[in-house]
Amino acid sequence: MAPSIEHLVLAISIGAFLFLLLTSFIVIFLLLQKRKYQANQKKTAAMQAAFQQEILQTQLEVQNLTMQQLGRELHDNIGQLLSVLRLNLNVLEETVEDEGTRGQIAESNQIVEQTIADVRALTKSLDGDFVKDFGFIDSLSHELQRIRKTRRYQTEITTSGTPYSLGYQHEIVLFRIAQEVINNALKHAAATTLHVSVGYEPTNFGITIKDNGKGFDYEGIMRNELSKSGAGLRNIQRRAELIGGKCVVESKINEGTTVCIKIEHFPVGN
Amino acid sequence: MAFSQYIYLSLLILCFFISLSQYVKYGQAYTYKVLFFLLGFGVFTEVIQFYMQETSNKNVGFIYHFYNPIEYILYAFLYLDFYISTKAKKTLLWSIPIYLIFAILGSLFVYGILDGKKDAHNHIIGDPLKVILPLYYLYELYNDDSQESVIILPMFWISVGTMFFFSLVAVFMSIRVELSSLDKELERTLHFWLNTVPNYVMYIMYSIGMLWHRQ
Ligand SMILES: Nc1ncnc2c1ncn2[C@@H]1O[C@H](COP(=O)(O)OP(=O)(O)OP(=O)(O)O)[C@@H](O)[C@H]1O
Ligand SMILES: [Mg+2]
Repeated sequence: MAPSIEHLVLAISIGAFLFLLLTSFIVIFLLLQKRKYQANQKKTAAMQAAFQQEILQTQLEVQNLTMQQLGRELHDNIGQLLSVLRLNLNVLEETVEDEGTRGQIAESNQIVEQTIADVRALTKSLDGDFVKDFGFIDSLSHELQRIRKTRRYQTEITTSGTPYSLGYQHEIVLFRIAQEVINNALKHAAATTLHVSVGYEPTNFGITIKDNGKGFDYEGIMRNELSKSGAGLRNIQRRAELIGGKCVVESKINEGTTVCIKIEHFPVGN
Repeated sequence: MAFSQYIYLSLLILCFFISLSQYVKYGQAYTYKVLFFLLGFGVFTEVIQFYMQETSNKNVGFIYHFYNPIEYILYAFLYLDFYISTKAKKTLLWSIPIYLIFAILGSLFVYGILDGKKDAHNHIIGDPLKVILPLYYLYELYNDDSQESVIILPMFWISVGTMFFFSLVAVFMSIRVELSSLDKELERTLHFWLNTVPNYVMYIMYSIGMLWHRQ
């Protein structure tokens, strides 16, 4: 018996329908699954980034607290003792008759006075609240002044634009970054001048710290294992990222080092 | 033996050998072991069935009274290894004795093994179960966020093929008895499209899944 035309039509339509059913099921499943996977991947990445931020934030807070405590301890303890020492020397200076000894005591007195001044300056540099109270520029100037007083370095700070506040949180982080960069210059560069320029552009904040020291191979050092290289440079990178900024280090052997940090600024009320 | 049956048997045997080779290749993995038994048992049953069909004129449908329950047990053990939720695993294990009780009671009292009535009760409970098994696996697969690509998983293809086949067979078997008394020609057409072709597709998908397998 030959199959009738109706059966042929029926067979073809059933076949086509089944084929469509199967392929659409597979395609829809694969598409949905892929989308879900990607959405989840995004979520995980966001969570990891948030977690990183949290860790950095905590690190910064702990570090700040430690520095602050250290600063207060210096101020309250050593500062007090030095003050007592100076008083004693003053009394001594008055009671001693001998001219030579008196001169020596006066000299010691001056050294103690200098030490007291240094300790006070150091206290301020350690204390993050100083940045809060006096602002970023003043704190930085103070830091550079402290270095200039050693008479081994020439320092300079220039600002351009109208200064605005970046918020205490950001400013303290920036201040710590600047401190690390300056410390590196003192520690490794054998530089003689330090130049800091701060630019307040309407939508951009930038700070550049430049030394005229011996320079180094930045890429090479960043490629080193963590155990071999210091934590300083890595930390300034991550901290700059934490406050939404970018940090660029440029260094050439014998030509000094320039570190530049840029942050976008969103003026309030815009 | 019809031409379509030759194709079916060749596909089944091909699939069986692929499972054997993957079983050897992947260090006797559990999945391939179960698949090897499942397909081997399928080949064994179908060969006997076709042989008896050719040599005697008797209806050999009673074979399926044995084949279907064992097939279900093997599917259950296949999926047991893949289900993530322990609740699902437990349910799956419990479904085996429950299904067996229904199958045996049905075979003995409702249909009668030797009556030779083919494909009886098995399709009423068995087929929906064999659809639910892969469906639940696909559901868990969809919710598993660690899977980047599911097409390299043999079980994805196996599950889609199994689901496709048994859902169509369930539809066909439920209307078959009525159909055969109404329109023999239509029954033959539907048998081809709702049973034979899905069978090809299923074994082709099994083969794709096993051959595409990447670790
Ligand atoms: N201004 C610079 N001039 C020359 N070399 C530098 C300068 N800054 C950094 N370096 C080099 O880069 C290295 C890594 O600096 P980094 O600040 O990461 O570590 P560190 O200062 O040695 O230790 P830490 O900051 O953790 O106390 C330094 O050891 C030094 O060799
Ligand atoms: Mg350092």
